[in-house]
Amino acid sequence: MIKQYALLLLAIASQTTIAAAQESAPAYEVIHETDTVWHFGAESIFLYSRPMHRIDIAYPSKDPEGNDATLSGCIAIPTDVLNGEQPCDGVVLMNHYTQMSFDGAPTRGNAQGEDYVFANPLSPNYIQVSSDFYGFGITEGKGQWYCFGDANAQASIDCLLAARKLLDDRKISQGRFLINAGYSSGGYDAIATQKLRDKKYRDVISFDKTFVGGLPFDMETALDDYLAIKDQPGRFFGLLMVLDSYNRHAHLGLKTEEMLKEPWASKFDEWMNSGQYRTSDILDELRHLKLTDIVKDTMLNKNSEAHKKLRQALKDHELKNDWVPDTTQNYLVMHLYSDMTVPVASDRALLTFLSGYRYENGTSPLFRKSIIPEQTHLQTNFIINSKDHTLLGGACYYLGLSAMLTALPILYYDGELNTHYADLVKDATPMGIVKTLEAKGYDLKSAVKGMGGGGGDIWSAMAKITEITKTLDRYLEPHDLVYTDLLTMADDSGLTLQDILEIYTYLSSDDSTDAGSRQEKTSATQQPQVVPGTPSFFYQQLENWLHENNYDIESIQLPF
Amino acid sequence: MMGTTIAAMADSEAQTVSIMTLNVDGLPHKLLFFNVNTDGPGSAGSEVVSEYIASKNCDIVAIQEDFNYRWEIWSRLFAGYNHDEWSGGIMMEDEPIDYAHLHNHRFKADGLNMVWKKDCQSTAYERVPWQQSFGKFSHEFDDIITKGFRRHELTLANGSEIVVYNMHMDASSERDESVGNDTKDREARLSQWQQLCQHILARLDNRPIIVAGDMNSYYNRDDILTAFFEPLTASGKATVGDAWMVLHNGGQYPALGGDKLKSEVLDKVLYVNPTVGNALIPVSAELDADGYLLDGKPLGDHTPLIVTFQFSRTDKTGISTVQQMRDAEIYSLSGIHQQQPLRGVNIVDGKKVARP
Repeated sequence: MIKQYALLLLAIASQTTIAAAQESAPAYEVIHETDTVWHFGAESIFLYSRPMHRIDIAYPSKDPEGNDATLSGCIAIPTDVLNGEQPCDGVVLMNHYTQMSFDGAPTRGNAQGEDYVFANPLSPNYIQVSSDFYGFGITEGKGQWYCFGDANAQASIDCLLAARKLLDDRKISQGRFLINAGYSSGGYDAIATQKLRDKKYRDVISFDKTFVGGLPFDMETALDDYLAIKDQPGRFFGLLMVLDSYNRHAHLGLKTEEMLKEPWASKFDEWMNSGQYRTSDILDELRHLKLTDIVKDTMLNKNSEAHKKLRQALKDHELKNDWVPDTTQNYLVMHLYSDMTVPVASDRALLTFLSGYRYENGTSPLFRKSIIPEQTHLQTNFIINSKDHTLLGGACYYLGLSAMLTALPILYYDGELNTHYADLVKDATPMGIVKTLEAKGYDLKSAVKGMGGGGGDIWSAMAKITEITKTLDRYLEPHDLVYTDLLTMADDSGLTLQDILEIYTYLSSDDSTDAGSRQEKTSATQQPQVVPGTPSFFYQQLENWLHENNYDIESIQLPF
Repeated sequence: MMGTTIAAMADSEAQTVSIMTLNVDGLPHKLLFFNVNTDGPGSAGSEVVSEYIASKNCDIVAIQEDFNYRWEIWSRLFAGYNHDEWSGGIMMEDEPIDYAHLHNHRFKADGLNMVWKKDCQSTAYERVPWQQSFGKFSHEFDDIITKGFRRHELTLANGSEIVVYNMHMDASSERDESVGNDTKDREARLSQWQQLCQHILARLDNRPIIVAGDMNSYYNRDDILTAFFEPLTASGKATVGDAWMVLHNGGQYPALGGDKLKSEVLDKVLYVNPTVGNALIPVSAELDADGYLLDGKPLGDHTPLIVTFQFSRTDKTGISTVQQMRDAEIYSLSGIHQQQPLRGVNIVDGKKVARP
């Protein structure tokens, strides 16, 4: 009797194990398999090419509402890797960027920037896995869930698991590294995928790096940024897709004609759901229009019911909701500083969210921003000042991804971060870099003095430079920047205001007097008028910036 | 083996063989854009190294890290020495390098080379890579090249036959050692000692063996006795000794985990004497730090270790691997070489021959 009971328990345990295994390794069906060539170039001028073998699969997953569904995705393997001529270094889970046309689905053979990643001269030896997401591929026509919470995350995770099984079945090496990647809305879905992984798949999946760029992490912030420039011609196409997606899936109940002006309202449904238009088609049509030319005031007015509904839906589906980040994971986040398609502030919210996350009772940020690769778990690069989300931003992202994929096997070849590199970056604080440069013979203190910054505090010195030479303004003006933008870029990318203050204090330390500071302080307070180019104007900008960035003004030695 | 025993065994009139092991630090100062070995001897210094080697007049020189300056290293040795195969340098040949996937590239070079006096003869040669190594872009870059060992069968001028192993084992950096990050380096070295031991056991005959090289090992850090000494001794076919330990530490070996013997270096000359056949007895072992200088500075990052052995037995009977008949070499039954054999049965290469 006891034996039978034990056998029963064993059987139940076995079934549970099998069920769990099946859950973590779903089946797949190969629906198409072909050899193709990916190219690196522009405007049909191919500089480099790489033969690829593409396997399109159907795999069991869930639709965005949690119902069982079969979705499609593709696995692309460099032919030289498949043939064993090159060893495989890893797998890239690529989340595709904004698509409207059904032809844009990965299984339609449309490389989503991956051609730039795989076919450039670095030719990283990785296998790419990409879900079509719901609404594309074998679910095309059922409507996509564009930047809607973590609606596409399960599709991405399941596609990865199915791909792993296929690769195992075919005895194709998956290498050592697993990368989660995506640009723009693909970056949004990559973060959603990371979130789902952190919540449900910690034991099954561990990303060596989640590399995202140009994403609208905080949709509400993105909305505010769009509103701030609603009277300027811009690239509002993403916002239209968000309107459609949230109206439909969050059941806002808004009619198209309530949201959009004509003739756009009449075209909207066909644009969004026919699958016949490419994003570039729509962009071309809207290129010279302002947001107010397209969207009705009822949507843009913060006090309107329609606007409030939308805003609440964005809030309800924020990615940061119900997410406890796994601090063992590694992020690389880049964004063009002046991105006009996806405003940078919505991505900055990701940095704020991660770097603000702490252990229970902890006080130090676990994700510390750093521009230096592999120095922390949160590398950031927000210093490229361009508006061009697609051409420049996309190129920077995909080539950056390629460089990262190439560097990882070297940096981690011996199963740990290369010790030489680790030693190099361990103390690579901004102040450490200054000291290193000095040790190499660079007289930075003299350089600072030469620029007129020999005494007092950095703000007085900068104000003086601004006032006397106008150099800073003259340089920044053509780029639509003011000097506080430089502070923001630096801060986003890991160079904090405290770092800057520390460096300046050190470099001006030979001049022990702070008379300059006091003098400027007096000067600043004595000037009642805020005239551009004057120290007062400078200080006001600075003070505003400090407030906006939640700095403790008392802790910073300010000259005013 | 204890020193006193050895002294008793050594016959002052017996023949000797001397060997130097030297890591010549032959990486260039710069590779691509990177400074890699700025304190190495470089091209000019390698010629001085060559001059130094020639001046010591050793019978055999086991060289490691003979990479990019082979002509300089050989420059003063051509006259008196033969050498074995040079396996290449680092980034200096026509060997194509896939720079985009540098992590997949491994240079064919092992950095090993051996020279022996021209009156010696090499009869067989084998190159074997290590089965396990660690560290490609850190941990002393062992995996960037194809490290391993080389085995030579040599017939000395006096007709004695010996086997010489030359090798370069897995290195670990002071940085990793100091922070306890050298576990995998030590594992790799231990595996290499075991591989070496098995290789020797599989080929052991009655010729004595010299094992020389840059072992990157210390007895207190690497379990050499368990991995190498004990299996050989336990086989009952051979005895093993470290010339330096025998002559400078009374045959005592530092305990694993204990203190390092102050005078011990990473380079070693060991000897394996088969229980049947000839045997080697170390009679001197010298670390020539004072002689290996240029303008008061060391010529490289290793010190030459020079060991002289005496043959304690020169019994040639039973040697199974001698391939050539040497009519001029006539031995008595007791194994004594007879210049003018006059009586009795003579044996040449293990066979009885009629008296001339």
